[in-house]
Amino acid sequence: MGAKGNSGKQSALKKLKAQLNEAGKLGSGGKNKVTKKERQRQKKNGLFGSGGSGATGSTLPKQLANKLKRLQVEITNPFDIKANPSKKFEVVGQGSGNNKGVTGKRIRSQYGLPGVSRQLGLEKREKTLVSELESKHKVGGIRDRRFGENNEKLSFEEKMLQRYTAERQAVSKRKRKNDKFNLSDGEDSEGEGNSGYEDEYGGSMGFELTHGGKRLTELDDYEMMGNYEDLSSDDARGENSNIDAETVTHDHFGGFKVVNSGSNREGDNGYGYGHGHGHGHGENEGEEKVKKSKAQIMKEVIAKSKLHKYERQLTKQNDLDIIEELDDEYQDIKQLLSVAIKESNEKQKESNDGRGSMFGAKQQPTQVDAYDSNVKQLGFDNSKRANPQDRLKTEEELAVERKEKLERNERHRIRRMQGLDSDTESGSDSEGGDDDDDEDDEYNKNVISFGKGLSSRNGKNGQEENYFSDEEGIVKITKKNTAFSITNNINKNNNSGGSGSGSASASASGSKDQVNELPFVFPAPKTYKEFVELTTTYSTQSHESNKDGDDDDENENGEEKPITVTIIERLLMLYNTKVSPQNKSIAEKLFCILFEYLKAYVNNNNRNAVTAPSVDKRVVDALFKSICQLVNMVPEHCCEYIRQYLKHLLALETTTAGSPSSTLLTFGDIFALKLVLMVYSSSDKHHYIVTPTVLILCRTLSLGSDAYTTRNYSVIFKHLLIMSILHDSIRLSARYIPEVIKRLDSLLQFILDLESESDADSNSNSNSNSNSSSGSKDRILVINNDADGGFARINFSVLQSLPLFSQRRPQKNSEKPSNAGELNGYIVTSTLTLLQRFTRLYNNAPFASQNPSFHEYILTPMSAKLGSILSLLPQLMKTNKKSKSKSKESSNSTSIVKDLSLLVNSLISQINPSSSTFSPQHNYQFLKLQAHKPLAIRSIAPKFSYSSSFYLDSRNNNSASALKRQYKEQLRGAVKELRKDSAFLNKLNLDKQLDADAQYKKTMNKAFNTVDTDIANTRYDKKDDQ
Amino acid sequence: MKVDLDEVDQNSVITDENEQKAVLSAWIVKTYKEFIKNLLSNFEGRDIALKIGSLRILMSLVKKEGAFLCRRSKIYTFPKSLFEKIVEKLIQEPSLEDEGGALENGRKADYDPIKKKSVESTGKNSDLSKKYEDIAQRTFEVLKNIKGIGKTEEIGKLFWIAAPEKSEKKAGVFKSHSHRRMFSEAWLSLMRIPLPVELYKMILMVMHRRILPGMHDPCLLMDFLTESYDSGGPVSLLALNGLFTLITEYNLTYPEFYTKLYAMFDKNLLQVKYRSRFFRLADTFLSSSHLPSYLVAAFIKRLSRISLTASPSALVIVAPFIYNLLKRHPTCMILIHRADSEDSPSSLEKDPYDFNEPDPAKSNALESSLWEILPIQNHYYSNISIMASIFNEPFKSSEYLLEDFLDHTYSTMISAETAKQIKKQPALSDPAPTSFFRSGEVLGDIFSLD
Repeated sequence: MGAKGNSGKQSALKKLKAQLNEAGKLGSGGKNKVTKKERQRQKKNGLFGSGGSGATGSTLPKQLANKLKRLQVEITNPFDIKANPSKKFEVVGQGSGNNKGVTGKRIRSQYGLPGVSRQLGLEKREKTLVSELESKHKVGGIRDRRFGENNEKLSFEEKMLQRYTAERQAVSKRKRKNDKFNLSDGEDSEGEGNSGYEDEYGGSMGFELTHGGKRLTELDDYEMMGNYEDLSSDDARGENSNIDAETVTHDHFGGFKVVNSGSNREGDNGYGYGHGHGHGHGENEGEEKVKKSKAQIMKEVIAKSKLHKYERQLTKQNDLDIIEELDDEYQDIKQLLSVAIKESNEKQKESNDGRGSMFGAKQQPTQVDAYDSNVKQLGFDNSKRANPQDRLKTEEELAVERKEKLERNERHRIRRMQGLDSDTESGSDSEGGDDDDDEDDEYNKNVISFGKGLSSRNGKNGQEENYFSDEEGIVKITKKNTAFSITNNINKNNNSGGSGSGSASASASGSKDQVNELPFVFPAPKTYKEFVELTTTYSTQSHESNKDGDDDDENENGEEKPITVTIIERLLMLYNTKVSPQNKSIAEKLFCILFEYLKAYVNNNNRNAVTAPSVDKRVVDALFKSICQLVNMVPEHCCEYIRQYLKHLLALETTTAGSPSSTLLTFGDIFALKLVLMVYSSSDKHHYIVTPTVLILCRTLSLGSDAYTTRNYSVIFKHLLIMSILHDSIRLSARYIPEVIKRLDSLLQFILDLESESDADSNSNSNSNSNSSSGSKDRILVINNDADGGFARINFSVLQSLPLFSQRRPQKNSEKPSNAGELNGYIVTSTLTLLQRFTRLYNNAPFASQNPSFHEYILTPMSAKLGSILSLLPQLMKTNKKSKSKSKESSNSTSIVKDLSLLVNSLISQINPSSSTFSPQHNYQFLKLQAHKPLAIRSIAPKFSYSSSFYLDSRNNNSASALKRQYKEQLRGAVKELRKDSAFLNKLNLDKQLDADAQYKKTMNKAFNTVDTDIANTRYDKKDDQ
Repeated sequence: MKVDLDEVDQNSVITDENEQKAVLSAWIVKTYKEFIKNLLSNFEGRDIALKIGSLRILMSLVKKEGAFLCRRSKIYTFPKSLFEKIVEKLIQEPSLEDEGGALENGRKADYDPIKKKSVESTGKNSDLSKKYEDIAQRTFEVLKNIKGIGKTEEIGKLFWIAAPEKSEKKAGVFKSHSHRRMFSEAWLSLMRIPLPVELYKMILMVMHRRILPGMHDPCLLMDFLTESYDSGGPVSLLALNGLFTLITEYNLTYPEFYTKLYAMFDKNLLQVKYRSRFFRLADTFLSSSHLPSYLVAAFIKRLSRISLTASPSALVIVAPFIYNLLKRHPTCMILIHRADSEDSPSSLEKDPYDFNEPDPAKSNALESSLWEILPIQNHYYSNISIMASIFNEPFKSSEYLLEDFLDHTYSTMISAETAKQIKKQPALSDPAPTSFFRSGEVLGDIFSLD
């Protein structure tokens, strides 16, 4: 390879030349010579080669090809060679020509020829892919199957011979298969014809028919007869191969007279045999029979075919009958199918009146189409699909359903309470929806019941009002009813009578002019301000109008509040999300507005001090109710809003956190938090909203402990409210709240401290003037009775009378409020009530059973205090009684003392069951919290595996991983190939497209040219004409 | 000033050079004193900038004067009288703002001689001003910012007044010993004053960090600390820290230490804001594995009892604390798991543990069971109840790192709760409320809107 050595800077072409030369030298003789020789040889082979290639013919081109290949490798441009990176330290012997290393692993060769391999790949693809592509989507075509046409090795004579042979064979085959009289092609009766051909060709082709290894010619004739069938039969006939001689004589020779209609096969057999036996033994007899039998056979055949035909017709008729029957039924069903379909069907019917059926319409393809389209239409029209109407449920079923729903909800709640996931939370949601539906239903009913003479508007409002009053259970006649009274006096009376109110007409008459003022449809308020304006404008209007009217003050109040209520209710009604989905955003806004309004309303920020001195329960209730509805409508938004509110409260407290006595929650906030706790399922173990809310309340409760010594009544009352709210929120789950226990304790201490105060007061009274003495004595403890016998409940006006009612941070005020006695009374009664309720709650809680955790640790210290309070009460009340005796309520106060001491006594007995007679002694069980399986002692001994040796394991692993690797490699290779294929095809397509485009352009150019010349010619002609 | 000069001019009929000099220097001294007086009187004003400016000038004057004195006497001398005046003014002036004090203290902290002197003078001053609580307060502020010098520490070379080169090395200024003595004296004199409670607490709070390391003889504080420790309440909580340092580093033996520690677990412990500090220490005190199990059991019982009225922020400490105790003292596991045996009754009528018994040895804690944990396990805040449920699990995990649980408050808990990502819409209550009052709720029993 000297050429290669000095070919450093030669051009590629020169290099090629030199190398070719060298290669030629290396071979025997010049290159051209070799190729010529080869060509000749090849030619020779093509003409005369019997086997295709002799020994010389195969070796020489191989050598040449090898040489060329080598040349090709050497010729290639050095830039085409890619050096494969190999491992730094090669294993000995790795670089040998064999591509396998010492380890037997296949290793990559040092040099790769990407260009060559690409070329190879392209060629391969061109061979396979292109042909595939061309034949794609093409069915049929012409295939050159001429014998020997493509085989160059055959001589002309040979070709002709082959063709002739094939022709004869084909003809014989055709004859056999497609015989004119071969009636049933399913049966492969190869009768005499076949054998005839075989006989014919037998000599010339050198075939010899054998049977059972014996030559047919050697066989005895009868034997041959007996087994002839076997010779010519298919596998299907194998079982009949041995026909006894009698059968043969009867059926095959004499039996043709008897029409054997039992089986087709037999008949065919007979025919086949008889027919085929033209040159058999009994030729003379046979000829006669054949002649006769032919006619018979034909008759037979005809009869048979007729029978078949008849049968076919019969079945067809049956089918038709069935179809017609179906058609009739379809007419019935069609009524039940959708209306649209029915109409279209009817149209169809009209148009195709004569037939009137959809089925059996072979003769009328249009009819079939119509039917198909109908079916399709039905299929697509899912909503119109025949749905069975909901069966009306019976009372029992409804009851069961309701019970199940309740049980399910309760189950979910308990799961959540235990801190587990409830599978569906939608129960309550859907329930809310149901409520709305119910309302709607009710609304509809009402519209109907209000009936004649009313516009729908009036009816709607009437319904609202009705709904409202039903809900409240309070007799109220409001604008809507009065609207009735204007339009229809009779109606109004009926209505008022129905609601059972005697004073209805009186109050209604007072607000006549409001009827026109208060519209039935409001625009939805977008901001809080707008809403407040809305409420204030109408409330003031009503106020004025009431002033004009003859109603007294109480009536005015009763009359006025529902305006806010009705506004809220109407808003909810108008902008219900059920009415339209667009109302969702309105509902979201409305929720924020109402939530803020509730707080502000309670805090007296937006109440008119003159018209609304106190909070109206109905307004609060309406706010609660509507907010709950809104939460059901837009739960996500409400959830987010409430969380923001909680964050705001927190931020407020942390930023302004100062004195520990500050409780920053206003009463409005407390009401709002109460609402939150009511709306959400407060018994959950963890709840995204309830948990932080309870934490905030508890935090407020834990603050302000000095309020009890400084008598900060507003803080104490807030604590009382919060405690009751907390009790209500945990009343189902009975969770332990340490803050409440602590506060109750300090409240009891507060009551005990009243005694010392009373002493101090009596001392100071003796010093001060007599005028204030009775008042100050009055101040210790005043307990009033409720109308229904219980203790008076804290009224909202009481809260309002507290100093700095709506301030976030109650200042320490040294002077006592004037109604301190009353406040103290409230504190005493509500503390005792709370204590009783909490005791009852926790006593029944599972954590307090059979252990002293609640009774002994918490309640026993309290019971001591309660005991001293019990002894103290008469004294406290005595001072009270003295003052009250003037106001003729002494008997009342003594009864109160009795009631109170009764309550305290019951509390004490509840706390100390041991002291009471009926309850058993405590029976505390020791804790067994670690009752689970004892833990194993931790072992530090090493772990041995006894399964197999490490090497075995690793070998197994190796084989597995090798398989994996192999799979991966294969996959990669396949994907690569596929990619290359697709790239190749794309390129091919692109080329095709380009060609087509070029072609198109060419034609277009041509066309334009001709047109241009034509135009020019015409012009020229015109000019000429002119 | 000018008037003065004129007067001098008018009066002078001086011819003698010496006399002239004497007159001049007398005048200069007089003016200088006047100037200083003016500057000091500036402290009484309201202008903070003026105060700071004059303080700076005064301090530079101190430097100059000191340098002059040094040059003259060849030994290190400090213009004591001037500096005392300044400090006195600073401490006594009620309108002195923090800024001025901070500035001064910041400077002083850098330069040792000044520190020494200021400590000394402050000590004296606080002696004088015993009756004024606010003065004591400011003295505390000043003293707090003075860093004590450790025993082995070198005296810094950088003095406020440059020390003369040839001055004697023996001078007390250059020994840490004398500085420490000054420091102790100053603090002790402050402590001798009947202090207001808040200041008392503050002193106790900085005790182990600032005061004890710089003291000449820390054992001098022993009485102070033991007295505070015995006084009970939050003060004793705070004293515990200093006492701990004394016990561990200065070999103080404290009789009935654990009894007193036991007494500190009272109902208010979990409400005070220093509770995290206390629990850190208590953990250390109870970490010894050589403590008798009756003692540990008593501590566990007592802590769990007082936690029955605690806030969640305290409860979050209590559970891991008890867990750690149980983990360290497996004999106390009997508190949460008592297997049935013949010698002990299977059920009781009363908790054998006596909460009111001051001696942990007699409290019978080991005969009891930790029933207090049951309500906590049913706490309204799910995190707490989960936390308390660790006692039901096998004690697999090692001790809890108490530090993770110490600094929780209501606010952090609420903000953590409100910041939680909502994965699932919160469940609504089942019968949606239609009114403010629901039947069966206590709110309707005590409150009405009629």
